[in-house]
Amino acid sequence: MSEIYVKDLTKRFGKTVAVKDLTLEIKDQEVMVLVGPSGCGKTTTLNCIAGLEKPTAGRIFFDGIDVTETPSHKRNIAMVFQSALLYPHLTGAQNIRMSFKAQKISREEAEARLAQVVRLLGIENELDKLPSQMSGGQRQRVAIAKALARGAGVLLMDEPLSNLDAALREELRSELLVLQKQLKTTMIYVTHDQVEAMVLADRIVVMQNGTICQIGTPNEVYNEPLSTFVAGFIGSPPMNFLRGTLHTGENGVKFMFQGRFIDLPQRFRKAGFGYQEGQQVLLGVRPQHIRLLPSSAEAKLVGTVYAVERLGKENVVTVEMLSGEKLKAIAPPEIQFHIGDVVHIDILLDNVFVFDAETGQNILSSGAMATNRIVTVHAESS
Amino acid sequence: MLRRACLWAMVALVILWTAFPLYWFLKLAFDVPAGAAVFPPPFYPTKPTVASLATALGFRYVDKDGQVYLPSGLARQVRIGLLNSFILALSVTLITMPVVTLLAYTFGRLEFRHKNKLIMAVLLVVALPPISIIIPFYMLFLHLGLVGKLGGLILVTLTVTIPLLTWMLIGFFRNLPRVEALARIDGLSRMRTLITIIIPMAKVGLAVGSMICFLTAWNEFTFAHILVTGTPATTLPPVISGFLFMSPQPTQLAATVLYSLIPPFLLAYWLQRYITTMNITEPIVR
Repeated sequence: MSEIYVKDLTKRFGKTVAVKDLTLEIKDQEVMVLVGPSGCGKTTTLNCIAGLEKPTAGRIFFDGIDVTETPSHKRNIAMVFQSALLYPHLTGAQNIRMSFKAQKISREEAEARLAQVVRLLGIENELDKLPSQMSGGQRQRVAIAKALARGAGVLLMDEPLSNLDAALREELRSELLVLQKQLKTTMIYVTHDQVEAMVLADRIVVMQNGTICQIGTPNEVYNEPLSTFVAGFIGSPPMNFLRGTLHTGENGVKFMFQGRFIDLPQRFRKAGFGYQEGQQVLLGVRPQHIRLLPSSAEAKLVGTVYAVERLGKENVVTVEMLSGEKLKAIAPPEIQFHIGDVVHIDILLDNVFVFDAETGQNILSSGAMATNRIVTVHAESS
Repeated sequence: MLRRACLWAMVALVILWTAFPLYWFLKLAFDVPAGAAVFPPPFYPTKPTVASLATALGFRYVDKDGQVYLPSGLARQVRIGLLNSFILALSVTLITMPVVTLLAYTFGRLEFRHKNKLIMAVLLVVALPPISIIIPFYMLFLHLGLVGKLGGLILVTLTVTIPLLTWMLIGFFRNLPRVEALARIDGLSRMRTLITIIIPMAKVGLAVGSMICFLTAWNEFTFAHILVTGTPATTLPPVISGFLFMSPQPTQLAATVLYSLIPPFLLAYWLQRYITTMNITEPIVR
């Protein structure tokens, strides 16, 4: 059992607030990914859980026991640091053995654990090498092996794959996932890479400015973003936002954009969808939900092709609209677009989101943030 | 082609500029006293011999022709100077390095209040010319009875080496990988991390630092000149400079200079592969 409960965590460095009133519950054997832009407080949160930083306020519980004052090595954790941090003057095997230094285990036990992690990660050839003699991938494997050798219930990962090339990153990513399932550890993983977050996570925590924007499964975060920030951060290429106003029409709710009315689909008619006539909103559309047509009678928007990125399986086309706003759309590779072409823009309205222009909140799920929050009350020891 | 020729010409000029004086005194050191008086001076020893090297240290030397070279009258001072310089440089290094390791580590890796101001203070001491503080030191040492004592000179030299080495090593310590967090998870205390992890990692920088420290003390002239010249505590630099007023045998003077160059030469030779790997040009204050 390795459950973690972070309660009202605040961490200040001098005058800057790195983490503000953060509450988070991580279940046993769960992979929780903290994701957000740099400076959002995700690494600070992880360091507080690891005991490397002392919280300014708030408590941290492991399995219901308050560990806020417990030093790192007495917590049930292991950690893999950014850029595969190892002791540079020690060999692979010596590095792994350092994990046993403060643990009271017999020599046989230590050797057995060493042999186990070496086998798990396939690093037989790295044992006598210094970190500087290993390749990036090998070094990362040794760093993971060193962490696993502690036999801890919680594995903390601080952007462990960020300094590897794309192919290696994908390989190690899937390996990590297999290892985690095999070892049944709880894992907290910090990354700024939303793809990594989507692939690895059981649940994702999207953070911004030291607070949580949304917690949810990858599906929830992708399909029901609570705010423009989450919507823009998760998904690649990022979501487009069109600024307009909401009006009531004969067929339900209409979105007015550049003098044209667009009927919003049925779900925006449900009860609980409150808006004011003429309210300023942002219409969120993912690039794959925009169709570009050479010409069309029903398409209501027109733009010119600004840039084309060819990715092989698809093209990402940037379209500049009359208002100067730019949209990204995904187009099948068969259709050739050239810069300067006039195109008609067809938005697949079933998949759009509406956000309040001022607060950035998703209008359909406003108030949902509160229900998403963890309200579990923990038996606080002491 | 012309560019290459120009480049090599410049290189040759620089080598000539720096190496020729060195060659000139080496030539003198290995010549007989009479050779130094030949005019115009030849470019090589008139009669190569190690006689001056022996006599400068106070030994009688007889060459294979039966020519006898008498010990130099200044030999006693040279020997005292060599011994004192060695004691000074060694003790200064042995005291400086542990102190500086702690200081540079603290400044380089830990965050605390007024850190930048304290670093600026260190820098200020480095920038201060020694001559500007020698008079207060002299007055103070007169009262303490430290003038003419090697202990006093060691104390003053430490005021030069500690800030200098701290300043040099801050950047080096800062550039080491951030392994403290790793060590904390492994359960090592701060002190144990410093001793068993950081110092082994930093051995290159500390080795080069020790060398620079040893040489700074070995070459230290200003303080020695004021505090210990003419006393039993005199070091080699004031001894050599004092010779200039005693119309010494040129070959013996050259031999003495040669002796003073041996430790720096050996140290630089031994540590040359470390010097380039150590980055001491990083800016320190952020």
